[in-house]
Amino acid sequence: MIKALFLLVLMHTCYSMSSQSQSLAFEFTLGNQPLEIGVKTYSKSLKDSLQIDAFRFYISSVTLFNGKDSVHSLKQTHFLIDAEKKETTKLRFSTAKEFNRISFQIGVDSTTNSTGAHGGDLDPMKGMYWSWQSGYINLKLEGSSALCPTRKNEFQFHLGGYSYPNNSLTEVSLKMPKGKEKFILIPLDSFFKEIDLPFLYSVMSPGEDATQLLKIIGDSISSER
Amino acid sequence: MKILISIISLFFISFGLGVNKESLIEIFPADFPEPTYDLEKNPLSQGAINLGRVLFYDPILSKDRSISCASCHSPYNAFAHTDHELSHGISDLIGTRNAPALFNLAWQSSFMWDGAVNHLDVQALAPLTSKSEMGEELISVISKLQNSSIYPDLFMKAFNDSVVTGEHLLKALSQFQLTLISANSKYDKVMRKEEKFTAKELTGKRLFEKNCNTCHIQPLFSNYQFKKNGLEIDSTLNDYGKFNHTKLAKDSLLFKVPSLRNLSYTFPYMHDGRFSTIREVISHYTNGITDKTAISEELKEPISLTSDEKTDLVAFLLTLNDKEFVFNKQHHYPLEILKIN
Repeated sequence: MIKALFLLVLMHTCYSMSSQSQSLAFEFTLGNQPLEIGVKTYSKSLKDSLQIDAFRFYISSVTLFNGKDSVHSLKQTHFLIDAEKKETTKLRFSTAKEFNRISFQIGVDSTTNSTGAHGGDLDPMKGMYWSWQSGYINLKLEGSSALCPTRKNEFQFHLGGYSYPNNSLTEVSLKMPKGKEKFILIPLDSFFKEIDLPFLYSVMSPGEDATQLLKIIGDSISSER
Repeated sequence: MKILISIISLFFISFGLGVNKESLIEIFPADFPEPTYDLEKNPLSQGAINLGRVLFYDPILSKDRSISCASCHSPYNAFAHTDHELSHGISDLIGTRNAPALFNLAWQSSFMWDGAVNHLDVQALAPLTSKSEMGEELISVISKLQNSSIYPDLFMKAFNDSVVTGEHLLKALSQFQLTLISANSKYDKVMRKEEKFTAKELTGKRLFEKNCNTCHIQPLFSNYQFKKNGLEIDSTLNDYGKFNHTKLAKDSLLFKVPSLRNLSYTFPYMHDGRFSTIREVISHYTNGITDKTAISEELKEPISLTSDEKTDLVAFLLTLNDKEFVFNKQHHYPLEILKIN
C-alpha cells in the first residue's frame, strides 16, 4: 500500500515537472541601456541625464492568445511590478501552449478600487494607494532631471483614477514573436520624449494628465528591442 | 490505507484552519434597511472586532504615539468630538473639519464630509496619513504593531495569522466600527411600540416630516447623499466640499447629509462645527440662507417655523439620542481585552 502511494506521489511529481511552464519578463530601458534605479543615466535621444528613483505599476487581467483564441489567463488578478525588485518583473504561465499575443491592463479596475481593503500585491501597505481620496495609484514614476524646475530637480508621477471621466486603466495588447525568447519592453526614453519635463513634472491625482500619461506609457510598450 | 486516510484528514485540517470558526455575529437591527457594507468580504468575528477595538483606542497609530482614533471620536460623544469645531491632531495641529460622529456606518457607501473615501475599510487611511491628524505612514504603523508585545497575538486571534498586514489592520478597524450601531433611542422604542412620544414630540415629528424628512430620512435620519445647504463659505478654511476632490463645478459646496441621531452628544454641528446648538441649526434653515441660488433643490421651498414649533421640533430631535449606544461598555476602552493579553 505504502509503495503504491509512493509511486502515485512520484508520478504526480514527474507529471508536474513535465507540464511545461513559460515565463515572460518585463524589461526597462533608459538611454538604450537596462534601467538602473537610483543611477543617473544619459539618454542620447533625450539629450538629458535622468535618474529614476522608483518605477512601479500594477498590471491586471493577463491573457495569452494564439490568433484569436485565448489560450491561458493568469489566475492572480493583479501584479505589482517593481523595476527595483527583479523577482516581481517576471510573469509565470503554467501552460506549454504556443501564444503569439498577450493582453493586459496597466492599473487596477474600478470594482477592485471600490470594494474595500485587499491583500497581497493590492495591500495598501505596498504604498500604491492614495489615502486622502480612495483609489489605487496605477503607476508610480519618480526621479530627477535637470529640466525640472523643482527642488532637487525632482519629478513625481503618481498616475491613477478609476472612475468616469478619469478612468486611467490602460489596455495593452502586444504581438509576440513566435518561438523566440519573449519579453515585454518598456523604453522610458519614449515616455520622456512625449512629455515636456520643464512644464509637466508633478502629477499626483486622477485627472486628464494622469490618464494621458498612462496611455503614453501603454503605447510605448513593445515586444521587440 | 490508514496512511492515506490520515493524509486526507491532515489535508482537511490544514485547510479548515483558514476558515473562521466563530459564527457570524448578528448585529444589524431588523427594522433597519439592508446594509451596504458587504460582510462576505470581511466576515465578522469576535477576534477581529476585539482587534479593531484595541487599535481604535491605541495612539500607536499616530506618528508620535499621541493621538488615537478615539481622540477625536470619543465614545461618550457618540464617537464625535464634543465642543471642538475642528479635529485635533499630533503636535497640537488643528484640522479643517469637524470630526463626524461614528455610528450606523454599515449603511453608508461613501465617507468623509466630502465623500472622498469610497469604502469603510480604506477610510482609516485618511486620518492615519493626514499631516494634521495622525501624520503617520501605513508601513510604519505595521512595523510598530508587528514589533509590539500584544498585536501579533491579537492579529493571530483575529485572522489566524500573526503577520500584521495593511489589509487585516483595516478590516479589523472596519469590524469594530461596524458594531457601532445606534438603534435604541426613544424614537426606535416608540417605533417598536415599547414607548410613547409626548404631545410635543409628536408635533415635532410632524414638523420634521414636513420639513426635514427628504434628506434626513428615517430610520437612519440621513440619505447619506451630498447637498448644498446654503452655508456661507468660511474664508479661513475655503472648503468647497466634494469639489475639493472631483474638481467638477457641480460639486462645489456639496457636503454629506449627517444623521440626526445623538445630536445632544455630537455638538458642534456642520462640517466646520460652526453652530453649537440645535436651535442655531434650525434657524439657519428657516432664515439663515442668504443665497437662494446656491442651495440644493430640497431646500428651495422656504422653511417657516414659529418659535414654539422650533421648540417642538427640538423635542422630537432629542428623542433620537441613544443613551444605550453612548454608554455601551462593549464600545469603550478595551480594558478587559488588554488584561487578557
